Amino acid sequence: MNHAMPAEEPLIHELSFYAANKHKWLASHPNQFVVIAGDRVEGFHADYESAFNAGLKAFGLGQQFLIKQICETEPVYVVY
Amino acid sequence: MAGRIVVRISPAELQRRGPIIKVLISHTFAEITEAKSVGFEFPESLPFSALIDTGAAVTVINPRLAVRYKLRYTGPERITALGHTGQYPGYAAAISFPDQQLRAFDTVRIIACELASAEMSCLIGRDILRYWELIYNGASGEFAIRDLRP
Repeated sequence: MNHAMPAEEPLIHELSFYAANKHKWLASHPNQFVVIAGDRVEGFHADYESAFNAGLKAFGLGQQFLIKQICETEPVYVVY
Repeated sequence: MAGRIVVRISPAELQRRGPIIKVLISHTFAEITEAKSVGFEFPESLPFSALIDTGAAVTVINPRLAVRYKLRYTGPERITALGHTGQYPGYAAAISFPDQQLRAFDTVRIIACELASAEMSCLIGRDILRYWELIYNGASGEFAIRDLRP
């Protein structure tokens, strides 16, 4: 398998914003899914599906948003 | 929709190809509804083969399909495959199973990653399998799937 990430990360600002707030959110919303567009936090959700539907409702089809699970250590998914 | 299918092949073919089903990857119901309200249409999805893979923690698709269907990117995910760990794009999608009596998944995160086999476009991972009972009978050349969601 090869890398498939685009050369420029489209959600780089949101990822930086997440990194800056991660420790605070780890205390308040551990393991929840946060939805971020720009510097705006839509909310925190129990699962990816709820997070996606809330993000779509808040930002519509035209604006990208990041969904990130708030974890101490970033999950790594193994494909054997 | 009923929640059980039995796929019969042959012992040799099941061993060679593995448990394969037809899937349709598309936009979520909420996206399609939103798109219709503003007069926008997504590209039409076509069914393709997916391997049910108990060795995959998450569902993976060929990156070309994610681009072709204009799936919605929701951030990078870390994957370890073939001993290498890297970042891969995650997308929101719906997964359904055309012509089979299996319930669809409306909103799941799937990850775009080149697959080792050109014959295969999708691995159904344990994020989907957590909702299924999968019975693999190599001796008779068949496998059965039962959806356990309430």
